[in-house]
Amino acid sequence: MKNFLKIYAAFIAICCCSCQKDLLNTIPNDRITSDVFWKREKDAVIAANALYTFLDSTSQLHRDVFTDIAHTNTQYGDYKAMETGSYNALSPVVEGEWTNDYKGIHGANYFLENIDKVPATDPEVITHLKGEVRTIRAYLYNNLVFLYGSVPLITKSLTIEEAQNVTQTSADEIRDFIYSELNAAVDELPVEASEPGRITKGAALAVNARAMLFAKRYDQAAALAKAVMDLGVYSLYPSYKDLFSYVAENNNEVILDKQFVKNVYPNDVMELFAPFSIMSNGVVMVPLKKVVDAYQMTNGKNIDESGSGFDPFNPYANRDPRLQYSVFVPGDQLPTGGTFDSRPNSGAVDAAGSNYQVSVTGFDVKKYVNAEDASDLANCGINIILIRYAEILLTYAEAKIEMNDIDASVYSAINEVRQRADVNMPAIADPQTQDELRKTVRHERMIELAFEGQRFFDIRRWGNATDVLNQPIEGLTYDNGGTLTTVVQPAFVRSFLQRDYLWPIPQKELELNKNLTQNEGW
Amino acid sequence: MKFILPASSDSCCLPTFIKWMGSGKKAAYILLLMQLLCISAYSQNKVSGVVRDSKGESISGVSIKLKEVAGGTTSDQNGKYLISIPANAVLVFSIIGYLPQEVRVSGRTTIDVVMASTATSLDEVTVVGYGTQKKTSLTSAVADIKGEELNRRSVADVQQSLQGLTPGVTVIDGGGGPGKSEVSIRVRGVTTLSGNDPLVIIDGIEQPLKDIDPADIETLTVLKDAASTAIYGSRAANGVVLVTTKRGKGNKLSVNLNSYFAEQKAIFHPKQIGMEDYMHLQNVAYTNAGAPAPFPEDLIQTWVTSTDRVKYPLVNDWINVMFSPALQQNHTLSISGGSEKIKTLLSVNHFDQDGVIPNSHAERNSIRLNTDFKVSNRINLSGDFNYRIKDYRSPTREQTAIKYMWASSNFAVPRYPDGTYGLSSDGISPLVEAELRGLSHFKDNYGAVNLKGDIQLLKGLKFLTQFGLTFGGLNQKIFTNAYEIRDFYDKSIIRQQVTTNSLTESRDYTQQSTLNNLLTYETSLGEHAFTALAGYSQVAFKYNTLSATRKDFYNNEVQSISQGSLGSRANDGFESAWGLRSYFGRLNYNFAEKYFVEVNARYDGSSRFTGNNRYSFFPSVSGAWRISKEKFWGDLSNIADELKIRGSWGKTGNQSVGLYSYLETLAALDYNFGGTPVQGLYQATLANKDLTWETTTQSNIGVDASFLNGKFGITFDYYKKMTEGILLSLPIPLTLGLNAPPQNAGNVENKGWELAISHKSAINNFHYGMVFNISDVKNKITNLAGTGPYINNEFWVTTIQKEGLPINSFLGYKTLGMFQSQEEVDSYPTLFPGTKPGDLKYMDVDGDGVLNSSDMIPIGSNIPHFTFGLNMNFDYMNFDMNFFLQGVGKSQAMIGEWAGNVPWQSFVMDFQKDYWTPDHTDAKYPRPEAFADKDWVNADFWIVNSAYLKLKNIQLGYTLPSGLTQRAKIQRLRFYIAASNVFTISKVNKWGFDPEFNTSLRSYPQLRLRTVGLNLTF
Repeated sequence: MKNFLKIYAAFIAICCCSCQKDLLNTIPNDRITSDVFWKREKDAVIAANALYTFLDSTSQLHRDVFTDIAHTNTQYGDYKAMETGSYNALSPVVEGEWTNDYKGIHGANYFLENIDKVPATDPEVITHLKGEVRTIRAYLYNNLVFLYGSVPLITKSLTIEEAQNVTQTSADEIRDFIYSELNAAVDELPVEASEPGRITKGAALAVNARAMLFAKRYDQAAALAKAVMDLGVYSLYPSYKDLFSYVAENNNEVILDKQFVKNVYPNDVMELFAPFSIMSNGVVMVPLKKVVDAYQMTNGKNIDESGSGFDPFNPYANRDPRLQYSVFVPGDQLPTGGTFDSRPNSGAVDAAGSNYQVSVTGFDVKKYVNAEDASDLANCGINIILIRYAEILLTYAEAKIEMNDIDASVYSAINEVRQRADVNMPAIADPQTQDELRKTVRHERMIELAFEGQRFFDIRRWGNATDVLNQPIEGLTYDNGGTLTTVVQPAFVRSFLQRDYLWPIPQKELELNKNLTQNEGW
Repeated sequence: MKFILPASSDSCCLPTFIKWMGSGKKAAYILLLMQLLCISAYSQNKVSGVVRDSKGESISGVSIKLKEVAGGTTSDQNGKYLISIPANAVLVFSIIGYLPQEVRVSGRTTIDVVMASTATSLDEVTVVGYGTQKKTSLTSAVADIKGEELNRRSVADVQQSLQGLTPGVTVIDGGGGPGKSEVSIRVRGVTTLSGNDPLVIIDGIEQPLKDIDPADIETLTVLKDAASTAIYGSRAANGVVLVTTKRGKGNKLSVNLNSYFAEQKAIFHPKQIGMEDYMHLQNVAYTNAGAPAPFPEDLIQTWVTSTDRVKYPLVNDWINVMFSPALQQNHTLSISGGSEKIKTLLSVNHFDQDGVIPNSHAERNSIRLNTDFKVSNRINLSGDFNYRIKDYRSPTREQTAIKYMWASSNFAVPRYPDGTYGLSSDGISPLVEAELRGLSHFKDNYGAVNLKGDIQLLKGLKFLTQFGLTFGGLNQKIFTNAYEIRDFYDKSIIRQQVTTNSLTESRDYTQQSTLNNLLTYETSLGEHAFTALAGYSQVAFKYNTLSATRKDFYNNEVQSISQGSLGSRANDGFESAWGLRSYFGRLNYNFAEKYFVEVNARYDGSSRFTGNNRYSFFPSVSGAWRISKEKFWGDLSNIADELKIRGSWGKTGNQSVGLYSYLETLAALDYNFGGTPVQGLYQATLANKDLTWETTTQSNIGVDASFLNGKFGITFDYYKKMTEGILLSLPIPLTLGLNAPPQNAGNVENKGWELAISHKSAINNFHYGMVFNISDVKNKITNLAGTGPYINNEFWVTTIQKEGLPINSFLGYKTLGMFQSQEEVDSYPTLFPGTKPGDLKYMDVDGDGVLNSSDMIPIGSNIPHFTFGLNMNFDYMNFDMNFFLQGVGKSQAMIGEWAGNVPWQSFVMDFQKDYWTPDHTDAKYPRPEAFADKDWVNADFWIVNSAYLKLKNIQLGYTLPSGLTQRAKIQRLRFYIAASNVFTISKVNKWGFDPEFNTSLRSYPQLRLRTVGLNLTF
């Protein structure tokens, strides 16, 4: 007993003497401090990799809910508020886009400031990375300038004080910056990517072509699109049906995409699009009647044109094949097996109006809805295409038409898109006036790029958003005991005013930087 | 099993009785029994006397009992008593408010007794930081609670028991399922925007209070003002809770068993609307939305009158399906005792709680061994060990299950005759969420080792050292099921399915070691008394966690991580550490127990900060004057026997900031190319090298008084607390492209007062004591460094942090009733297009003719005011009773989601029946409109007065007469019945919810327990 007590006393004595020297100097071993970074070539690669995450993903597709071809199916929340015009500068969507873009821009600035510290074993690797990062930064600026107009142009890391005093740069100057940056990137980038998904010369050209089209700098847009076409590495994928499925990943039509992989870096596109019967959750974004009606008959006529052969009781027969590849309509096969039936009187799980989670229009988006992802909806590995060759062809055509520089290449660019192997629509009428061609190319963009997020930009830059958006929410027209009934979402009033062509600058930003001015009407 | 009864037992019968119990021989038994009777019959004496207090006043109602033997009497109105007893008996005099006294009769026939009041008991000590102090010499605001007070309610979490017991300590009981109680303690208000929990020190080391066995607690002390907390420096800004656990006492062996069984029931029973009313209301709502009415009149009649509830399901009262009464039980067995050299206490506890919703359950087992060694007259050692393990489970989607009970679940058959789950017309069932979606299992381990030693170096000089190690970890196993629900009528239709199941397992480990070294010195010089304390303390904390996930298990039963698909495997983990090094001291001086001064200081260094900000200094000073000790007080002491005024000032800190905030670090942001994952790193957050502590400066003045010999007591405190340099992730311009680092900005002020009044007395055999306490605190953000406001939206409740407002004020629109006519709508701005008469009229606050977010104003706050408790104890003969009322005098809750957020099947509550129509314009509730959110944005209309008064607990106990129990060698046997949350008086009753319920509608509800229990002491 005595011994035990002695040992015990000794133990306590040891305890009181043990002063841990490093007690207050805990060093994190679960994160990298910046002072040990930028030491190896690999560090440059790692830093560039991170910036790809700032590219658009399903967020790009989701923007189409603010257009006349799609609609927010959720009853409440931020997207509905924006669709109904009851949003403001505090809107999380408005702030989220701004925040993400500037985060990516900071990352790019930080990269470009530090990249030269890295000892390069292969200077070409460094040059390529610079081009990739420059392209990402320009891509983000193109989003910003389109959505918010004049925004601060930030090209280096800032201190808090500097950031509180930056001023807006005119949209024009930002577009100049985008143009010159992407031109620089084109010089830095290779034609062929070292890994699928890495930014290439073609991607930089294509981002630039899109940006210049948005900027209405049609000559530059046409030239850039032409440069992409002339690279000779891109072509349309023969199957529109498979274009958004796993078999077509990284095909030659894809110029820029956001790469995903199941379990590791997945997206949730199924939760955005898949019919209720597949996911047992609320559908987020659904097609509207307008776009479904806009798909031509296989004879090239619109459904309301005489001689189109359109049968309202069998409305989906003999239509532009892209309809059945893009939209779930009653009678379609679901990727999980079973038949999609959204007719309100069908009693089926997807019946429109049966509950608040199914599509209110009776239509669901089919692009990117793949059987491989049906079991785990937030774990989709499918790449989301940001720019594909078809868009470049249509950009080329549109830019040339706007310049009134109409030649055979315009017709063939449009027809190339229409006559992809499994689409094979009749060629467009030839010749057409500039006005007619403008209509033609705009129609083609709506159909070809439906639900890919481009409609959002298109109706805004064409200036017809106020006309096409302030419309009731209409869906499926179905046989209701012999009469045709169109599904309408009651009590949903869309609102798009002149001010909505630009989003407001986030309130938070205005409060912290008194040098900024809010967009008109906000 | 043999029990040794106290050697001091002098009753003549008992030793023989015990002998018999040992021998078991029948003849002896009979003999002894006769002897026993004889003794009782022949040696009775009569004893009489008067009981007085220290001032010579007689005391009535004093219980006079024979020690260890049944029988007794009570002093009359003049303090007189008369009792017949055996010649050599020991009398025990007791009454609430006085120290019990034992008097050996020794053949006397007259015994007068003077009782000492406990209120003026100079020996009563209270636990303070790193020591104890006489209550009378306290100069600061300290509240102590006896362990027995914490054991009156049958609770899952001892923190719930603290509710209402002492002023200035607000306990918010947010419910919580078995094993997951959501209880928060706030000492003197909310001082900061994050990290408001008090520091909890159990037996000298920081430990969680949550899962400790209440029966192990001897005392719990709350240090409230800075004078008492400054000795804990950087972690003390939110107050300090000191817990002392029970230890072995005396030289005899004592066995205690405390057991109870309780039935739990949810007390959350909002009334849902009747079927016919609901259908009519829906018709109106749809018509108002411009949509066809969904329920034709004939269908309504068919539905209402139908007896086929499979085809025509009810508007379900899911409460009856989801909630069922559940059992809770708790058993603590403790054995304590020892010798001169070694004293020990062993206590084991088993707690078991079933959930009132399906698939929830918790079980906790704990063991404690506290041992003291007296090595010599100068050296004491102690070693304590505590280990507990808590197993609990709940539905993986518990919150959704509860949420769905209130929303979108109408017209569902919970389960069809063949067992198939039914879904509502919105495709929802809370039962599916609770039973089919998967179960989560948790295992929470916790251990604490606490070694202490002290040595008397010189007279008055003592050195004490303590080493404490706590360790533990939570194992989680979260499984989500794959399942499908087929249509009841057509089995080919899949109504709902989840095809991938998944398992996430995680393990974490926390270890905290504490070293305390203290040197104390006590001396006195005439009437001058000094004590001094110098101390050193260090705390080292380590944490790591590891988690793994896989999907696609063969079925929902095979729940081992290796059984998931290889392709889906993923893992994650991280670790962290922090350290704290502190030097502290205290100096007490008093003159003639009349004037007191105390000075505290602590110098803290933390690994969370760097450079010059690493160390910080937290001083405090306090003083007290016992006026009642002054000569001039003289005869006044007949009325007020104790009067003390106190004052204190001090600084404390809060270090609740993320680790390594001062370092510029890179965050992982991985990507992939062609399906091959690649590493990515990115600077996400700005570093802040200037980061330092939040500092709270608190001033306090207080009065302690006791009247009429301790019959009445009063304690009053007024304080002002200013917290500066609150750690905020102050927004930085978004164009910077980085997340904001925490910065020291922002001040919060709390001003409040606390009052406790106690009274104890007796009328004959009826003794009673009651303590009423009430407190209030006004909270205000005084500075946000020119930034803000910060607006936050969680579960449809928008809150704002803004200078001049209380923390987390509700932000919303002011309403001017409902629009009564189209002209009124046309002549006033509206928030929503399509606003019609019967919709809420939101006020155009800025008068700019447009309603938008700039018209949102602060419309209330959820900070409770005038929180109070009334604790009453009564005893009469062998009966005792506790009656505990608790409440909040002023409080608000926002119920916007409650009123509206139910996508298509909205308006499911009974109160919503009273809605606006052109014929019923003075309705309580606005015009219903399907698919619309016009009327339930955050607005003052949806702020309800959630002040309440609850009968929190009532307990009735009966102690068997000791004469009876002695025969079974039982010292004390008490049975009790109790009920908690017996009734609630509140304005929210009419909305059908409990004032303490979280309005997010996702929380496990508060419970009513009906308990039967026993306390047994051998």
